[in-house]
Amino acid sequence: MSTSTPTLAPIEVDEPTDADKPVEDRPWQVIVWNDPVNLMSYVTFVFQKLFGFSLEKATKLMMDVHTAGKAVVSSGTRERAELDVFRLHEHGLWATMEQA
Amino acid sequence: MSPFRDDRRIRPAKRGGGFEVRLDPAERELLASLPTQLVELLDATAGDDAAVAADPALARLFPQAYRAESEAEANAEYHRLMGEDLRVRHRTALETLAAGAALDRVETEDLHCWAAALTQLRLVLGERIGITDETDWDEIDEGHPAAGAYALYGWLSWLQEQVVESLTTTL
Repeated sequence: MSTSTPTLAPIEVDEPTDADKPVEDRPWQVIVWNDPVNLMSYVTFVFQKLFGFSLEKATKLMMDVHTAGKAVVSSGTRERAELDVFRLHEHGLWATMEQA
Repeated sequence: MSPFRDDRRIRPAKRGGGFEVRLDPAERELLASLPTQLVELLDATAGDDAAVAADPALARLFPQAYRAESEAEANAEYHRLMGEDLRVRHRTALETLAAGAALDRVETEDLHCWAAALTQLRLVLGERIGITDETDWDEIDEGHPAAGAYALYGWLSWLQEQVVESLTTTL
């Protein structure tokens, strides 16, 4: 058994970005929008409950919604995104989905 | 602020799991009647997308899933496929709250319904009285024409905070 194994030169790869992908392959993002009614504590709670986020992550996303007006809370297939949108609507949050 | 916060209406039970509910009779009456009124509104507009869309308060309970105007067809499809499911979930949450209004203790699963139902009530009432991020609560005094509705909204918000605080202990 040889003690030295041939090494392969590293191949340089341009990591594809979502923008390079054909439209149908781009992930769907679920966005939660700010609304004047839902309580900050409730929004944080729903993020933890539905997505299993830590209190820190849920609080950060809630603050993004509160201050920037929106936050991306999940992304994936169209079916997955639609289910997440439904669960957020069930909890009274203003959620929409769009392709990245 | 009292360290005991004994005016809380909903809080984790000291023993046996679940949550204690301590409401006075007038509050119980409201928590039974408000969700029932909303259930009636949901039932009256079931399957009628035009009626839901025409009422901004109701539309808030059945939002668009797609924001772009070019996605109108996808939105119609979302409402066709999921609208009835969403209505049933909303209805179940409201009925659980209405039924729980008479109880002294609720289980965790039911308190999750309370949280969703109180949210619905606040969304509808908030839309009706025009709550915005700029609403100046200092201007809503007893002489305000909608003082009663604002007080009701404030009370629902106060209860909702307690429900959320209680449920957060179970996460």
